[in-house]
Amino acid sequence: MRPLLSFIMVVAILGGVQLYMTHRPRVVAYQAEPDAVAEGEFRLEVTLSFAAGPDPFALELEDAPSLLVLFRGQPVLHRTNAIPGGQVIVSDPVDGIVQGQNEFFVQATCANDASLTANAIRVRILRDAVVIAEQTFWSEPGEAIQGALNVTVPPESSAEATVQE
Amino acid sequence: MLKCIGMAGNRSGKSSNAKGLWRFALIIATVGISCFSVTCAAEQNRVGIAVCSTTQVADFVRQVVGDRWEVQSVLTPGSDPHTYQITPADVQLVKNATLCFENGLHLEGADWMKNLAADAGKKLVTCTDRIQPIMIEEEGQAVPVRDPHAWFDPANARIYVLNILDAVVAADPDHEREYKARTELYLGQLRNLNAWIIKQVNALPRERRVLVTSHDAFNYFCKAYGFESAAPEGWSTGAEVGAGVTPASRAKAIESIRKFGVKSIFVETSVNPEVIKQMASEAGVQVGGSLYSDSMGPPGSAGETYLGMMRENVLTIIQALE
Repeated sequence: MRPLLSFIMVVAILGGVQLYMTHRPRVVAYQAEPDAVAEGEFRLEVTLSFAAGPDPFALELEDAPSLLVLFRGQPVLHRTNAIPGGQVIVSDPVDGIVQGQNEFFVQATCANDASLTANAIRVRILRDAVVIAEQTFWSEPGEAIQGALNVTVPPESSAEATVQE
Repeated sequence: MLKCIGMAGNRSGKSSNAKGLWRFALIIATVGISCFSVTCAAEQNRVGIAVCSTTQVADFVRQVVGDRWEVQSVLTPGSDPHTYQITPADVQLVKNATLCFENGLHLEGADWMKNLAADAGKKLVTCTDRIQPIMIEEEGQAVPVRDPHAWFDPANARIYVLNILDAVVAADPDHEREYKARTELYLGQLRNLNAWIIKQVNALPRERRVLVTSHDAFNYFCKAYGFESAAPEGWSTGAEVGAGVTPASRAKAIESIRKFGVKSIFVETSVNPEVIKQMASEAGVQVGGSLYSDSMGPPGSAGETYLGMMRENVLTIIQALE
Protein backbone atom coordinates (compact mmCIF):
# COMPACT_ATOMS: atom_id res chain seq x y z
CA MET A 1 0.00 0.00 0.00
CA ARG A 2 2.75 2.38 1.03
CA PRO A 3 4.80 2.05 -2.21
CA LEU A 4 1.64 2.69 -4.21
CA LEU A 5 0.86 5.79 -2.14
CA SER A 6 4.43 7.07 -2.58
CA PHE A 7 4.23 6.44 -6.32
CA ILE A 8 0.95 8.39 -6.56
CA MET A 9 2.45 11.31 -4.62
CA VAL A 10 5.55 11.40 -6.83
CA VAL A 11 3.39 11.36 -9.98
CA ALA A 12 1.22 14.14 -8.55
CA ILE A 13 4.19 16.36 -7.67
CA LEU A 14 5.99 15.82 -10.99
CA GLY A 15 2.73 16.36 -12.87
CA GLY A 16 2.16 19.62 -11.02
CA VAL A 17 5.62 20.86 -11.86
CA GLN A 18 5.21 19.86 -15.51
CA LEU A 19 1.84 21.66 -15.64
CA TYR A 20 3.37 24.83 -14.18
CA MET A 21 6.32 24.71 -16.60
CA THR A 22 4.01 24.42 -19.63
CA HIS A 23 1.60 27.15 -18.60
CA ARG A 24 3.89 29.68 -16.86
CA PRO A 25 4.04 33.18 -18.39
CA ARG A 26 6.75 33.51 -20.98
CA VAL A 27 9.54 36.01 -20.36
CA VAL A 28 9.85 38.27 -23.36
CA ALA A 29 13.16 40.00 -23.95
CA TYR A 30 12.84 43.76 -23.47
CA GLN A 31 13.56 45.62 -26.65
CA ALA A 32 15.17 48.90 -25.71
CA GLU A 33 14.79 51.67 -28.19
CA PRO A 34 18.00 53.57 -28.85
CA ASP A 35 18.00 56.98 -27.15
CA ALA A 36 17.84 59.97 -29.44
CA VAL A 37 21.02 62.03 -29.20
CA ALA A 38 20.27 65.57 -28.03
CA GLU A 39 21.12 68.37 -30.41
CA GLY A 40 23.67 71.05 -29.60
CA GLU A 41 27.18 71.29 -28.16
CA PHE A 42 27.50 70.21 -24.54
CA ARG A 43 30.17 71.29 -22.10
CA LEU A 44 30.89 70.22 -18.53
CA GLU A 45 32.40 72.59 -15.94
CA VAL A 46 33.59 71.53 -12.50
CA THR A 47 34.75 73.96 -9.81
CA LEU A 48 36.22 72.81 -6.51
CA SER A 49 36.11 74.79 -3.26
CA PHE A 50 39.25 73.01 -2.08
CA ALA A 51 42.61 71.72 -3.30
CA ALA A 52 42.04 68.24 -4.68
CA GLY A 53 44.68 65.56 -4.66
CA PRO A 54 44.96 61.82 -5.04
CA ASP A 55 43.24 59.82 -2.30
CA PRO A 56 45.83 59.65 0.53
CA PHE A 57 44.57 56.18 1.46
CA ALA A 58 44.63 54.61 -2.01
CA LEU A 59 46.48 51.34 -2.55
CA GLU A 60 48.16 52.68 -5.70
CA LEU A 61 48.64 56.42 -5.33
CA GLU A 62 49.75 56.86 -8.97
CA ASP A 63 46.40 55.70 -10.39
CA ALA A 64 44.18 57.24 -7.71
CA PRO A 65 42.02 60.00 -9.22
CA SER A 66 41.86 63.40 -7.61
CA LEU A 67 38.85 64.25 -9.78
CA LEU A 68 36.67 61.83 -11.73
CA VAL A 69 33.48 62.46 -13.70
CA LEU A 70 31.85 59.44 -15.32
CA PHE A 71 29.13 59.59 -17.95
CA ARG A 72 27.58 56.31 -19.14
CA GLY A 73 30.38 54.48 -17.35
CA GLN A 74 33.10 56.31 -19.28
CA PRO A 75 35.38 58.98 -17.80
CA VAL A 76 34.59 62.48 -19.06
CA LEU A 77 37.14 63.99 -16.67
CA HIS A 78 39.91 62.01 -15.03
CA ARG A 79 42.69 63.84 -13.19
CA THR A 80 45.32 62.24 -11.00
CA ASN A 81 47.32 65.40 -10.30
CA ALA A 82 46.75 68.06 -7.64
CA ILE A 83 44.07 70.61 -8.58
CA PRO A 84 44.00 74.00 -6.83
CA GLY A 85 40.72 75.21 -5.35
CA GLY A 86 38.69 77.68 -7.39
CA GLN A 87 40.01 76.54 -10.76
CA VAL A 88 37.34 75.65 -13.34
CA ILE A 89 37.98 72.25 -14.91
CA VAL A 90 36.33 71.90 -18.31
CA SER A 91 35.40 69.00 -20.54
CA ASP A 92 34.35 70.28 -23.96
CA PRO A 93 32.56 68.84 -25.86
CA VAL A 94 30.74 66.11 -23.97
CA ASP A 95 29.49 63.58 -26.50
CA GLY A 96 26.64 61.13 -26.16
CA ILE A 97 24.13 63.24 -24.21
CA VAL A 98 20.66 62.03 -25.09
CA GLN A 99 17.17 63.46 -24.93
CA GLY A 100 15.71 62.57 -21.55
CA GLN A 101 17.58 61.20 -18.58
CA ASN A 102 21.39 61.64 -18.33
CA GLU A 103 23.43 60.83 -15.26
CA PHE A 104 26.92 62.10 -14.35
CA PHE A 105 28.79 60.48 -11.49
CA VAL A 106 31.18 62.91 -9.76
CA GLN A 107 33.98 62.04 -7.33
CA ALA A 108 36.76 64.20 -5.88
CA THR A 109 39.21 63.68 -3.04
CA CYS A 110 40.83 66.48 -1.14
CA ALA A 111 44.56 66.77 -0.63
CA ASN A 112 45.33 65.80 2.97
CA ASP A 113 46.13 69.29 4.25
CA ALA A 114 42.78 70.66 3.06
CA SER A 115 40.67 68.02 4.73
CA LEU A 116 39.92 69.74 8.05
CA THR A 117 37.03 71.69 6.57
CA ALA A 118 33.83 70.70 4.77
CA ASN A 119 34.28 70.71 1.00
CA ALA A 120 32.08 71.45 -1.98
CA ILE A 121 32.17 70.87 -5.71
CA ARG A 122 30.06 72.74 -8.28
CA VAL A 123 29.10 70.93 -11.48
CA ARG A 124 27.53 72.75 -14.46
CA ILE A 125 26.28 71.42 -17.79
CA LEU A 126 26.12 73.90 -20.66
CA ARG A 127 24.28 73.45 -23.95
CA ASP A 128 25.38 75.82 -26.71
CA ALA A 129 27.05 78.02 -24.07
CA VAL A 130 23.86 78.24 -21.97
CA VAL A 131 23.79 76.64 -18.52
CA ILE A 132 21.11 73.98 -18.52
CA ALA A 133 21.91 72.29 -15.23
CA GLU A 134 24.02 72.93 -12.16
CA GLN A 135 24.37 71.32 -8.79
CA THR A 136 26.67 71.56 -5.74
CA PHE A 137 27.84 68.50 -3.86
CA TRP A 138 29.12 68.66 -0.28
CA SER A 139 31.21 66.37 1.87
CA GLU A 140 32.03 66.16 5.55
CA PRO A 141 35.64 67.05 6.48
CA GLY A 142 38.08 64.30 5.57
CA GLU A 143 35.63 62.50 3.31
CA ALA A 144 35.74 62.26 -0.47
CA ILE A 145 32.95 63.99 -2.36
CA GLN A 146 30.72 61.64 -4.30
CA GLY A 147 27.46 62.38 -6.03
CA ALA A 148 25.35 61.93 -9.12
CA LEU A 149 23.98 64.72 -11.26
CA ASN A 150 20.76 63.65 -12.98
CA VAL A 151 19.81 65.90 -15.89
CA THR A 152 16.72 65.51 -18.04
CA VAL A 153 17.59 67.07 -21.38
CA PRO A 154 14.65 68.29 -23.55
CA PRO A 155 14.68 67.77 -27.34
CA GLU A 156 14.81 71.48 -28.15
CA SER A 157 17.83 73.60 -27.39
CA SER A 158 15.68 76.46 -26.14
CA ALA A 159 13.76 74.42 -23.55
CA GLU A 160 15.08 74.27 -19.97
CA ALA A 161 16.61 71.07 -18.65
CA THR A 162 15.57 69.73 -15.26
CA VAL A 163 17.86 68.45 -12.52
CA GLN A 164 16.67 65.75 -10.16
CA GLU A 165 18.05 66.44 -6.67
CA MET B 1 13.75 -15.99 40.81
CA LEU B 2 13.55 -12.39 41.76
CA LYS B 3 17.23 -12.46 42.55
CA CYS B 4 17.92 -13.93 39.12
CA ILE B 5 15.88 -11.27 37.41
CA GLY B 6 17.59 -8.66 39.47
CA MET B 7 21.01 -9.96 38.52
CA ALA B 8 20.06 -10.20 34.87
CA GLY B 9 18.74 -6.64 34.99
CA ASN B 10 21.94 -5.49 36.63
CA ARG B 11 24.04 -7.26 34.01
CA SER B 12 22.02 -5.70 31.14
CA GLY B 13 22.35 -2.30 32.88
CA LYS B 14 26.11 -2.74 33.09
CA SER B 15 26.24 -3.74 29.42
CA SER B 16 24.22 -0.67 28.38
CA ASN B 17 26.48 1.53 30.55
CA ALA B 18 29.53 0.07 28.86
CA LYS B 19 27.97 0.66 25.43
CA GLY B 20 27.19 4.25 26.45
CA LEU B 21 30.75 4.76 27.58
CA TRP B 22 32.10 3.35 24.32
CA ARG B 23 29.82 5.63 22.33
CA PHE B 24 30.91 8.61 24.40
CA ALA B 25 34.57 7.71 23.92
CA LEU B 26 34.01 7.31 20.18
CA ILE B 27 32.37 10.75 19.94
CA ILE B 28 35.18 12.36 21.96
CA ALA B 29 37.79 10.65 19.78
CA THR B 30 36.04 11.79 16.57
CA VAL B 31 35.75 15.36 17.79
CA GLY B 32 39.40 15.31 18.94
CA ILE B 33 40.65 13.96 15.62
CA SER B 34 38.57 16.56 13.72
CA CYS B 35 39.95 19.41 15.83
CA PHE B 36 43.48 18.10 15.39
CA SER B 37 43.08 17.85 11.60
CA VAL B 38 41.56 21.35 11.42
CA THR B 39 44.46 22.76 13.45
CA CYS B 40 46.98 20.88 11.31
CA ALA B 41 45.29 22.14 8.13
CA ALA B 42 45.37 25.72 9.42
CA GLU B 43 49.03 25.37 10.33
CA GLN B 44 49.80 23.78 6.96
CA ASN B 45 48.19 26.79 5.26
CA ARG B 46 50.54 29.10 7.16
CA VAL B 47 53.28 30.51 5.00
CA GLY B 48 55.66 31.81 7.64
CA ILE B 49 56.25 33.54 10.92
CA ALA B 50 56.40 37.34 11.14
CA VAL B 51 58.20 38.71 14.19
CA CYS B 52 57.53 42.38 14.86
CA SER B 53 59.23 44.76 17.25
CA THR B 54 56.19 46.68 18.53
CA THR B 55 52.50 46.02 19.05
CA GLN B 56 51.49 48.59 16.42
CA VAL B 57 53.67 47.03 13.75
CA ALA B 58 52.33 43.58 14.69
CA ASP B 59 48.77 44.83 14.25
CA PHE B 60 49.53 46.28 10.80
CA VAL B 61 51.18 43.01 9.75
CA ARG B 62 48.18 41.04 11.02
CA GLN B 63 45.86 43.18 8.90
CA VAL B 64 47.83 42.36 5.75
CA VAL B 65 48.59 38.67 6.25
CA GLY B 66 45.45 37.56 8.09
CA ASP B 67 45.78 33.91 9.11
CA ARG B 68 48.36 33.10 6.43
CA TRP B 69 51.22 33.96 8.76
CA GLU B 70 51.81 33.57 12.43
CA VAL B 71 52.40 37.08 13.78
CA GLN B 72 54.36 37.62 16.97
CA SER B 73 55.46 40.78 18.72
CA VAL B 74 58.64 41.14 20.76
CA LEU B 75 57.09 43.87 22.89
CA THR B 76 54.03 43.11 24.97
CA PRO B 77 51.25 45.70 25.49
CA GLY B 78 52.42 48.46 27.80
CA SER B 79 56.16 47.98 27.09
CA ASP B 80 58.40 50.88 26.21
CA PRO B 81 60.35 50.36 22.95
CA HIS B 82 62.86 53.12 23.73
CA THR B 83 64.22 51.44 26.85
CA TYR B 84 63.49 47.77 26.10
CA GLN B 85 66.21 45.25 26.94
CA ILE B 86 66.21 42.11 24.80
CA THR B 87 65.93 38.68 26.45
CA PRO B 88 67.07 35.18 25.39
CA ALA B 89 63.43 34.41 24.51
CA ASP B 90 63.49 37.28 21.97
CA VAL B 91 66.60 35.82 20.36
CA GLN B 92 64.81 32.47 19.99
CA LEU B 93 61.70 34.19 18.62
CA VAL B 94 63.64 36.01 15.90
CA LYS B 95 65.61 32.83 15.11
CA ASN B 96 62.33 31.13 14.07
CA ALA B 97 61.10 34.10 12.02
CA THR B 98 60.55 34.11 8.27
CA LEU B 99 60.47 37.92 8.18
CA CYS B 100 61.17 40.54 10.83
CA PHE B 101 59.46 43.93 10.99
CA GLU B 102 60.51 47.04 12.89
CA ASN B 103 59.20 50.59 13.19
CA GLY B 104 62.58 52.19 12.49
CA LEU B 105 63.72 55.82 12.93
CA HIS B 106 65.36 54.57 16.16
CA LEU B 107 62.09 53.96 17.99
CA GLU B 108 63.66 50.70 19.09
CA GLY B 109 66.24 52.14 21.52
CA ALA B 110 69.85 51.31 20.53
CA ASP B 111 68.36 49.60 17.43
CA TRP B 112 67.62 46.39 19.33
CA MET B 113 65.39 44.94 16.59
CA LYS B 114 68.01 45.59 13.90
CA ASN B 115 70.60 43.83 16.04
CA LEU B 116 68.30 40.88 16.77
CA ALA B 117 67.53 40.38 13.06
CA ALA B 118 71.16 40.84 12.01
CA ASP B 119 72.40 38.34 14.61
CA ALA B 120 69.85 35.76 13.45
CA GLY B 121 70.57 36.49 9.77
CA LYS B 122 66.92 37.36 9.09
CA LYS B 123 65.50 39.89 6.64
CA LEU B 124 64.29 43.03 8.40
CA VAL B 125 61.57 45.28 7.00
CA THR B 126 61.57 48.89 8.24
CA CYS B 127 57.97 50.08 8.17
CA THR B 128 58.80 53.80 8.22
CA ASP B 129 60.72 53.65 4.92
CA ARG B 130 59.38 56.29 2.47
CA ILE B 131 57.79 58.30 5.33
CA GLN B 132 58.67 61.99 5.49
CA PRO B 133 59.78 62.28 9.13
CA ILE B 134 59.14 65.27 11.37
CA MET B 135 62.45 66.69 12.59
CA ILE B 136 62.67 67.51 16.29
CA GLU B 137 65.15 69.88 17.80
CA GLU B 138 66.35 68.44 21.10
CA GLU B 139 68.03 70.31 23.91
CA GLY B 140 71.76 69.76 23.80
CA GLN B 141 71.63 68.11 20.36
CA ALA B 142 73.33 69.93 17.53
CA VAL B 143 71.40 68.13 14.78
CA PRO B 144 67.61 67.70 14.77
CA VAL B 145 66.46 64.11 15.21
CA ARG B 146 63.79 62.28 13.23
CA ASP B 147 60.60 61.64 15.21
CA PRO B 148 59.88 57.89 15.10
CA HIS B 149 56.20 58.01 16.19
CA ALA B 150 54.95 58.24 12.61
CA TRP B 151 51.97 55.87 13.04
CA PHE B 152 50.00 58.61 14.82
CA ASP B 153 49.04 60.04 11.42
CA PRO B 154 46.74 57.54 9.64
CA ALA B 155 48.20 58.68 6.29
CA ASN B 156 51.56 57.38 7.54
CA ALA B 157 49.90 54.20 8.78
CA ARG B 158 49.05 53.64 5.10
CA ILE B 159 52.78 53.72 4.27
CA TYR B 160 53.53 51.23 7.07
CA VAL B 161 50.91 48.89 5.60
CA LEU B 162 52.19 49.30 2.02
CA ASN B 163 55.79 48.56 3.12
CA ILE B 164 54.53 45.44 4.87
CA LEU B 165 52.51 44.46 1.78
CA ASP B 166 55.57 44.76 -0.48
CA ALA B 167 57.68 42.59 1.83
CA VAL B 168 55.00 39.95 2.32
CA VAL B 169 54.23 39.73 -1.42
CA ALA B 170 57.95 39.36 -2.17
CA ALA B 171 58.16 36.53 0.38
CA ASP B 172 54.95 34.81 -0.74
CA PRO B 173 53.93 35.89 -4.28
CA ASP B 174 51.40 33.04 -4.58
CA HIS B 175 48.95 34.85 -2.31
CA GLU B 176 49.51 38.37 -3.66
CA ARG B 177 45.85 38.97 -4.53
CA GLU B 178 44.74 37.92 -1.08
CA TYR B 179 47.23 40.25 0.64
CA LYS B 180 46.28 43.14 -1.66
CA ALA B 181 42.57 42.63 -1.02
CA ARG B 182 43.13 42.68 2.74
CA THR B 183 45.34 45.76 2.47
CA GLU B 184 42.75 47.61 0.39
CA LEU B 185 40.09 46.80 2.96
CA TYR B 186 42.30 48.06 5.77
CA LEU B 187 43.15 51.25 3.89
CA GLY B 188 39.42 51.89 3.68
CA GLN B 189 39.24 51.55 7.45
CA LEU B 190 42.15 53.98 7.84
CA ARG B 191 40.32 56.44 5.57
CA ASN B 192 37.22 56.15 7.78
CA LEU B 193 39.33 56.57 10.90
CA ASN B 194 40.88 59.75 9.49
CA ALA B 195 37.47 61.20 8.61
CA TRP B 196 36.15 60.31 12.07
CA ILE B 197 39.10 61.95 13.84
CA ILE B 198 38.69 65.14 11.78
CA LYS B 199 35.01 65.25 12.70
CA GLN B 200 35.77 64.79 16.41
CA VAL B 201 38.62 67.32 16.44
CA ASN B 202 36.53 69.91 14.60
CA ALA B 203 34.16 69.93 17.58
CA LEU B 204 37.02 71.28 19.69
CA PRO B 205 37.70 75.05 19.50
CA ARG B 206 41.06 75.76 17.89
CA GLU B 207 42.46 77.52 20.98
CA ARG B 208 41.90 74.37 23.06
CA ARG B 209 43.88 72.13 20.74
CA VAL B 210 46.98 71.85 22.91
CA LEU B 211 48.23 68.39 23.75
CA VAL B 212 50.60 68.01 26.72
CA THR B 213 51.79 64.43 27.20
CA SER B 214 54.53 62.58 29.08
CA HIS B 215 56.92 62.37 26.15
CA ASP B 216 57.13 63.86 22.69
CA ALA B 217 55.21 61.12 20.86
CA PHE B 218 52.27 62.97 19.37
CA ASN B 219 53.92 65.36 16.89
CA TYR B 220 52.49 63.54 13.84
CA PHE B 221 49.03 63.49 15.38
CA CYS B 222 49.29 67.18 16.26
CA LYS B 223 50.51 68.12 12.78
CA ALA B 224 47.75 66.14 11.05
CA TYR B 225 44.91 67.49 13.17
CA GLY B 226 46.03 71.02 14.03
CA PHE B 227 47.16 70.63 17.67
CA GLU B 228 50.03 72.33 19.49
CA SER B 229 52.17 69.80 21.35
CA ALA B 230 54.30 70.03 24.46
CA ALA B 231 56.05 67.36 26.53
CA PRO B 232 58.50 67.46 29.43
CA GLU B 233 60.44 64.48 28.05
CA GLY B 234 61.99 64.45 24.61
CA TRP B 235 61.05 62.17 21.72
CA SER B 236 62.47 59.17 23.61
CA THR B 237 61.85 58.06 27.19
CA GLY B 238 65.40 56.75 27.40
CA ALA B 239 67.89 59.24 28.81
CA GLU B 240 70.67 57.33 27.07
CA VAL B 241 69.60 58.78 23.75
CA GLY B 242 69.64 62.36 24.86
CA ALA B 243 66.17 62.59 26.31
CA GLY B 244 64.55 62.24 29.72
CA VAL B 245 63.07 65.05 31.81
CA THR B 246 65.36 67.99 32.42
CA PRO B 247 64.47 70.96 34.66
CA ALA B 248 64.47 73.16 31.55
CA SER B 249 62.13 70.90 29.53
CA ARG B 250 59.84 70.58 32.52
CA ALA B 251 59.71 74.35 33.03
CA LYS B 252 59.09 74.83 29.31
CA ALA B 253 56.16 72.39 29.36
CA ILE B 254 54.62 74.09 32.42
CA GLU B 255 55.05 77.45 30.71
CA SER B 256 53.21 76.08 27.65
CA ILE B 257 50.38 74.82 29.86
CA ARG B 258 49.97 78.26 31.42
CA LYS B 259 50.46 80.16 28.15
CA PHE B 260 47.79 78.24 26.25
CA GLY B 261 45.42 77.95 29.24
CA VAL B 262 45.43 74.17 28.92
CA LYS B 263 42.64 72.47 30.84
CA SER B 264 44.02 68.92 30.98
CA ILE B 265 47.29 67.12 30.39
CA PHE B 266 47.74 63.43 29.66
CA VAL B 267 49.73 60.47 30.92
CA GLU B 268 50.74 57.61 28.61
CA THR B 269 50.14 53.90 29.11
CA SER B 270 53.78 52.98 28.49
CA VAL B 271 55.41 55.81 30.48
CA ASN B 272 55.64 56.37 34.24
CA PRO B 273 52.79 58.83 35.03
CA GLU B 274 54.44 60.45 38.06
CA VAL B 275 56.10 63.35 36.19
CA ILE B 276 52.84 64.36 34.53
CA LYS B 277 50.92 64.10 37.79
CA GLN B 278 53.44 66.34 39.56
CA MET B 279 53.34 68.82 36.67
CA ALA B 280 49.55 68.85 36.70
CA SER B 281 49.46 69.74 40.37
CA GLU B 282 52.20 72.35 39.88
CA ALA B 283 50.42 74.00 36.95
CA GLY B 284 46.99 73.68 38.54
CA VAL B 285 45.44 71.54 35.81
CA GLN B 286 43.89 68.08 35.82
CA VAL B 287 45.19 64.84 34.36
CA GLY B 288 42.83 64.27 31.46
CA GLY B 289 43.40 60.55 31.15
CA SER B 290 45.77 57.96 29.83
CA LEU B 291 46.77 57.80 26.14
CA TYR B 292 48.15 54.86 24.21
CA SER B 293 51.46 56.00 22.77
CA ASP B 294 54.42 53.68 22.11
CA SER B 295 52.42 50.57 22.83
CA MET B 296 48.86 49.44 22.28
CA GLY B 297 46.53 48.01 24.91
CA PRO B 298 46.24 44.43 26.20
CA PRO B 299 43.79 41.96 24.56
CA GLY B 300 40.21 42.85 25.35
CA SER B 301 40.92 46.56 25.87
CA ALA B 302 39.83 49.35 23.52
CA GLY B 303 43.45 49.84 22.52
CA GLU B 304 43.96 46.25 21.42
CA THR B 305 44.15 47.33 17.76
CA TYR B 306 45.57 50.39 16.05
CA LEU B 307 42.09 51.60 15.03
CA GLY B 308 40.78 51.11 18.57
CA MET B 309 43.83 52.76 20.09
CA MET B 310 43.46 55.85 17.91
CA ARG B 311 39.73 56.16 18.56
CA GLU B 312 40.22 55.73 22.30
CA ASN B 313 42.97 58.36 22.35
CA VAL B 314 40.85 60.86 20.41
CA LEU B 315 37.85 60.34 22.68
CA THR B 316 40.04 60.81 25.79
CA ILE B 317 41.60 63.98 24.35
CA ILE B 318 38.31 65.52 23.24
CA GLN B 319 36.48 64.73 26.48
CA ALA B 320 39.29 66.23 28.57
CA LEU B 321 39.86 69.37 26.51
CA GLU B 322 36.36 70.41 25.49
